Amino acid sequence: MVDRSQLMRGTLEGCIIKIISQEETYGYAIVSRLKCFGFEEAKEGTIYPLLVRLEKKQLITSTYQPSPLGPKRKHYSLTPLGKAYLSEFQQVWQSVRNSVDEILEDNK
Amino acid sequence: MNVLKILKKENTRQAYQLMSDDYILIRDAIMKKMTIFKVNSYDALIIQRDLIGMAQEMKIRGTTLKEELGDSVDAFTEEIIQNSRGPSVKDILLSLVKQLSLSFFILFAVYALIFRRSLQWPVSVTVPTLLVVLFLMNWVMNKVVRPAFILDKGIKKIAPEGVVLALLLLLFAQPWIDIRSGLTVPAGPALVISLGVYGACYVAHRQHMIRLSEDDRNLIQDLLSGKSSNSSQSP
Repeated sequence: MVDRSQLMRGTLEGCIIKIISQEETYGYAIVSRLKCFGFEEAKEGTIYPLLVRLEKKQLITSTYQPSPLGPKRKHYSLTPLGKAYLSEFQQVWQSVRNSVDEILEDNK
Repeated sequence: MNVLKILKKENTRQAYQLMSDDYILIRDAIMKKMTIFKVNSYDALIIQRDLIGMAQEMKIRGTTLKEELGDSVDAFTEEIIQNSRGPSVKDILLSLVKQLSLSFFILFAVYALIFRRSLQWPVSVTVPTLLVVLFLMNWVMNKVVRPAFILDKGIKKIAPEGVVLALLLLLFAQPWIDIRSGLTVPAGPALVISLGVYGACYVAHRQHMIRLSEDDRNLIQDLLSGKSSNSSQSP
């Protein structure tokens, strides 16, 4: 059986970066956006380690901002390096998608 | 600006407000595995702050971090460890020597002032000496050695037992020292040196933390500025 979460894993980073590129946002809002787009299994516990990695790679940066729910929450925004990464991810994804589509649609 | 103190104070304040199973999960199941050997001291404090904040928000939304993570706490912790900045040799040494020198100072001071009531005594293996050494060994095992290997597998998993064996061999070598007469334990200088080492490591570690936080200067300022709201509005 196809492990959907494993399949999505590699693409999740790019999707998170795309969401952050649209507006400065925080963990729970990112999870909600991902769920809207069909990543039903996305949880804060799934994306927090990825956000740590993206920060380490300096693709995103964070600030603490007041929250209506509890203590200040971390808001993430894209760095210039992140913008370049997103552009590259979009190109690579198109190429991978085309290749997979071609293989799947090949009826020879 | 003492970054270490600010972050520790913030984490204590937020943890006090959380006080639930999630706090125990963060403290015992997650942060204990993020030892000085795996994550640098500054990142560990920021991660702790993030997790406490996340758990507080979940509590208000009617869920918990424990429910969210389910059986994957170890995988979650391991992933954070792998994705965060590891410690430098300097970070490990400073943290380790700071903890060991303070423990040595406290234990040695208690032993000298309460059990010996002196700052100098002849070298010999006595029951209190053995107790102090065993206590120290237990501390080193539980606070330093075991957490360092907690997520490791294979031969590394048995490394703590190897350390205990080495320490026991050292302990058994003690009677040999007894043969050499005239040796005394210089408790006074030992206490002064250990306190001096602790002070030097504390200052150096503080400076090191400031350097580590330089990229995140705004993050610390954010935490310092104003108070967060705690009302129950929608997210």
